[in-house]
Amino acid sequence: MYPELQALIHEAEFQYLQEEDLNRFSQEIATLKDRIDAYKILRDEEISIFQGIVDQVIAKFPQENSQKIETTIRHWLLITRYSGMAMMLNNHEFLEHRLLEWLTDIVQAYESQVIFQAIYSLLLVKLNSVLSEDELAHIEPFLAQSNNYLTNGAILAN
Amino acid sequence: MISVADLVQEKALKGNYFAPSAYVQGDFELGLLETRLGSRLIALPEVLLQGIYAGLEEEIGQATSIVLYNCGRWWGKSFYRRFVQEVSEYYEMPLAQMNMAQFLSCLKQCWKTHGWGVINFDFDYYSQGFIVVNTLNSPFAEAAPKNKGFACQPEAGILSSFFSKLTGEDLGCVQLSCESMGAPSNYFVIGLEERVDLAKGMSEEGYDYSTIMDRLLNTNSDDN
Repeated sequence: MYPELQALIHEAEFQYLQEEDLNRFSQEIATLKDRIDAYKILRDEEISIFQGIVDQVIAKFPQENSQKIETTIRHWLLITRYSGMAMMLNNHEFLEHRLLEWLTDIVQAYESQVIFQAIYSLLLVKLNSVLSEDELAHIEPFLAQSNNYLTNGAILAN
Repeated sequence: MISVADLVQEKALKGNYFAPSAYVQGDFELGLLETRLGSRLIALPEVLLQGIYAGLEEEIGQATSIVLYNCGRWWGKSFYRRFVQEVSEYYEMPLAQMNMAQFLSCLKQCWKTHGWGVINFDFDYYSQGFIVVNTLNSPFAEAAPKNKGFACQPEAGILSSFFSKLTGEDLGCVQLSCESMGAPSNYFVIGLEERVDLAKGMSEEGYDYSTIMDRLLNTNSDDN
């Protein structure tokens, strides 16, 4: 958890932490409140955020099999929840190991990349309206990591 | 009409059951490493694996590979049972309802988290009756003596009984390349015993992976 904090804990095994280390420590703690606020919004608004996205996706791809859309939405619900936790921990590895590595094959076997990407774009637009600029800046890198990993990174990962 | 409220409620949305930080737990005061469901895990030192290869070679020589293969088959039977139980319990669905990609993704993660290296599956020859498996960083190939023949019989055994249980057919597994012989990874082919027997002979004669696969597939189509 918290790779930055873990590095500091490790450092403190050898010597007292120096000013620079303590500043990093304070910064981690200072931004935690914003990250928790963003997490609460993602949690409380989950259904309304995603219902809006589903309706737009269905309108955009009227011919598409609804089972396929449902599966992709299910995966993005999962990605967003895990991204929220990874954001609180500020830990990209958490997201990779707890979700993305495992989800890659499943996404690639059953999903249309076009729909997957469309949901990602709609999600960013939606979050832009429900989160503050700072809150969005906290969650966005984790969603981008997921989108990249599941659409491009998987080829490299194999 | 898709209702997100129903989606969120009707089925648990869960991630990687086998993520190392979640899967490997322990009662450290009692000296126990355990899985997240409480089954015991032990760490084998590499030197012990080296000792097993050396000891078997000294005591039973050529029979080593068949003994290790059979050990793997025993291991694979209970591994399959435990794997299916854990996975269906965690994802709250019986194996029959789980799609193949999810099942294999769980198996890949499980393999990796136990420290057995990286495993990949190739189903391109499935319609012809074969499954090809590739592993990398095998602990067995690493511990085995170098350039003394294929060494991943425990893995071949585990794969044969795992896929036998999964498919309900009696399948065999033959190793086609080995890291202990300088190959970049380990290839295995799984299929009905009588069909993969040919591969066994060819691999002992030193044919490479692609030649053996071509031959297997050709023989197969001749039979048809």
